[in-house]
Amino acid sequence: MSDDKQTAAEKELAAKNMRLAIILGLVALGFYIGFILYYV
Amino acid sequence: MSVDKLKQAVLGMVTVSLLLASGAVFAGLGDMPLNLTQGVTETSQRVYDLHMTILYIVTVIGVIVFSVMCWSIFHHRKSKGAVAAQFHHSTAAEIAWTIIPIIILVAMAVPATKTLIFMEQTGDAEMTLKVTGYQWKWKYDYMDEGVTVWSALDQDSNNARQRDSGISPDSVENYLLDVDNPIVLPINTKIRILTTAADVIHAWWVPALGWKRDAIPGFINDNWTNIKEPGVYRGQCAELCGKDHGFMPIVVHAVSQEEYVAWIDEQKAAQLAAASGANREWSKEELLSQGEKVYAANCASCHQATGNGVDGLFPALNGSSIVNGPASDMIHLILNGKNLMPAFKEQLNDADLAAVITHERNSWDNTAKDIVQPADVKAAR
Amino acid sequence: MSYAAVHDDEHHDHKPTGIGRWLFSTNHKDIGTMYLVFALIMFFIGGAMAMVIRAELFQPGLQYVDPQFFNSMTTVHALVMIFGAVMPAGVGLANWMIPMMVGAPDMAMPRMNNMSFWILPFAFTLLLSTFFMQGGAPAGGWTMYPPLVLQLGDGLPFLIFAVHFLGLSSIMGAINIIATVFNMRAPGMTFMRLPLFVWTWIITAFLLIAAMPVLAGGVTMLLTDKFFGTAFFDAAGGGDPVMFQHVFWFFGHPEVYILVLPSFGIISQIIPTFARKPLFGYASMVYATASIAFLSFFVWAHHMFTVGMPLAGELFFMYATMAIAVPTGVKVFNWTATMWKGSMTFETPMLFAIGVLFMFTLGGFTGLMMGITPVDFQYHDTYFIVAHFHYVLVPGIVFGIISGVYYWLPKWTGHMYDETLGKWHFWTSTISVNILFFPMHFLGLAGMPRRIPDYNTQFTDWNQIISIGGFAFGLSQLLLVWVVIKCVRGGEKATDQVWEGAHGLEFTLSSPPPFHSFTTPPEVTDATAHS
Repeated sequence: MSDDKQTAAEKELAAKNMRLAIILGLVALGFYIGFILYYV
Repeated sequence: MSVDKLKQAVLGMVTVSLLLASGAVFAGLGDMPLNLTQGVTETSQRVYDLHMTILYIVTVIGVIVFSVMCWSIFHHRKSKGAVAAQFHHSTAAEIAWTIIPIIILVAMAVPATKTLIFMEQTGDAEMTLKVTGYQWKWKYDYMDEGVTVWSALDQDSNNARQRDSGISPDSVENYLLDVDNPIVLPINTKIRILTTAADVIHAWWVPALGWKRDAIPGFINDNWTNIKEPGVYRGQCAELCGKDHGFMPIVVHAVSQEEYVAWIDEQKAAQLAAASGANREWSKEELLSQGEKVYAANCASCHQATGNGVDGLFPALNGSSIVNGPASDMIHLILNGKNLMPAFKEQLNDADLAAVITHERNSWDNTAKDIVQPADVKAAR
Repeated sequence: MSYAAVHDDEHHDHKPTGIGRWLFSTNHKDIGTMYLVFALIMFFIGGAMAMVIRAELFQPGLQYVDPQFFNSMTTVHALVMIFGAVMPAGVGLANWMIPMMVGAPDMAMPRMNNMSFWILPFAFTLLLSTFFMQGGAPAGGWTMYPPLVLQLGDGLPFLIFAVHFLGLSSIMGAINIIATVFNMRAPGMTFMRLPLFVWTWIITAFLLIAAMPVLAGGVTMLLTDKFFGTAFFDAAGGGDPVMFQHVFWFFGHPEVYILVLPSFGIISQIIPTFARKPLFGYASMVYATASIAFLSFFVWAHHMFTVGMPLAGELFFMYATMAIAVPTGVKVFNWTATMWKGSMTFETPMLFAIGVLFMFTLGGFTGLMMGITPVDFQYHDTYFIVAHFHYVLVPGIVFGIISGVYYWLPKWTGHMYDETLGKWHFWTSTISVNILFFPMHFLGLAGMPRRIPDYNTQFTDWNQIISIGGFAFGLSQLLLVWVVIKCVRGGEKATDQVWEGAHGLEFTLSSPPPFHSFTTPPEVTDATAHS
């Protein structure tokens, strides 16, 4: 699926996926940093 | 290969392996016990009883569950014309097999909790033994007597366990389970045993006492034992502690109170003799012969009997600039340690240190060839 | 590789060719294949290390390797098998199957999918390169306990960065799986209609996101302790070496379920297929899986009962550990009830799934025994625990993965595999794995500690039997390679449904499936749903 030929629905899905990925990624990063800060 | 032949072959293999396994079990395979030891303390007996109880419980559950599985495997198969039922849940069954395990587990937790509370009562001990793990030996301090014992793998095992030693381990009695200086403990005495370590984490474990406990640098763990029967009880370090983790056994001689007192007196006398030895001048021959022994017991596991060390891990002493350099630098390094090299300040007395330094400076291709006296070591402390 | 029946989909993109197809792949099937091939290679590398261990332990005395190298073998064997073989195999199966099972065209984030795979070869290059460094490969155990691990030479930062990369890869894979399942399900594919394999993988993915950063944090603190003068784990500097164990096992116990849950999911697909009967207690399976995952965060200290915790701590972790037996029992009973009054046939995937059922349960029993704290004081760090976790990991998890491979191989390649060879593989593996691991229980009870290169002569006979079992098990796995290669190259044409009793969206696609799984989302109703 090349990016320039995406339909509106596909773009919306891609944005939704990206939002979820960013949230989960931040959760993981938060665990990592929070964990170290907890012990510092 | 046809399916029938395959089935025959498989059945044959199963039969042979079952026969082999059962034959091996009944033959006893050497003298190795197949079950947990009952040990010689109340703790070990309680632990053994708990072990057997839970073993029986899981065996009964296992027989029931596996029978149901096997029954269905043999009877509910398509080749026997079984027609699949289409049920896919049963609230009653699901509640039953949630509740029943909970009841069994609670029943199991009660004796386990009692035993655990019993094991944690370290108070009102009659004597205290402090165990310190080192890479790779044990130090035992009899806290009430001021007696210290260093205990490492015995020389016979140590010779046989070298790679390509040519010595069969079968020819060594208690291979890897014997030490140079076993410790002696009195029976029918509540003994508090403190575990700690000097370098990395070790674990002190004598199965006959019924527990093991980690020896952690910077922390002291509290345990106790009360041995009921005289005898020799062997154990090993149980926490990976580096290269020679497999080679730091534990030997406990449990004896009557009178024999214990006699042994303590002997130790005190030996310590006095060693201390006085440090105050006199030693001959080169004395130093060299004593140094060889000390080297084999304390240095050879890393620096090797050849003095060539292990490439990338342990430096060679043969041709080393430190061993061939000024004696004072060498004494300082051995006393205080460096990186992986432990500080031998506490581990060895002045005479042994002087002897081993003299030995190293006179061995292999080393050119220093001088002697170091106990007094030199004493002065450097 | 053959994708004979590639459909020209409406996007008119073509299957790329040559090495670029793999290097730059964004296709869930190609990436899944790469994950599985990588896992197989790692399985043999880790297996070779196990063979070295068993050769050295064949008799007392040191014959082939030095103690330090032996410790490297046990350490790296574990790291390679856990992070290189089992986890990538699970992710590979998830990549292949989840989009097809939920009715999606591909994974939610195909480029990230590519990245999370290609991190792996680099991470393992870092790890395995330590064998050629001053001080050698990691030898302090895969648990990396300080202070011992800090005695490692030049390899230490390589070990730590390898672990960081592996964690990064797993987290990206987990995010991808969650996004795919949450956002890309076909119309009508509600959560409670998801196949169990998908359910176990979502739960696994959440475990990964929660547990992996903790491991990364722990090893980062090791790194700063060694090189930047901190003292997190150094008692002399006011730290606590035991704290690392708490950190490690806070990751480590969920990790156990990260490894095992996908295997549970696989056999939950396979047993209903070959029993020709719906999975018993679908909902309770989902809840049991979720409760196991939840409880897994409260039992970590049962790995370290001997460090000397307060009585209250020991009791808490004992009770919590025993509690996990309840949902695990529910799963075993549900599988048994699925087989009960079914109409079973015993093709290779079913044989391996039944193997999991029996032998995982056996590993579960010893797990329960070790959960009893006072008795664990005797079992801890002996061959008893080695027997326990190998029963769980090899016939419990590796067999589960293998059963999944046999189950879906015809779907992937379009050919049936060689059933006779498959059965040979099962029987030789099952017999040898028991000769390999069962006697370890005896050794442990008799007092043989783990992670030792040499032992007292009383242990010789059983060690020889174990080593023979080990070599036989290692050789048996060559059969798997043979079967897979043979199946990829040709064989009887597989139907779309492959197995008579198979249900699920993946079996509505052609065998092999089109390059992009579902370009038009299928409609899922209660009648067509998996359960």
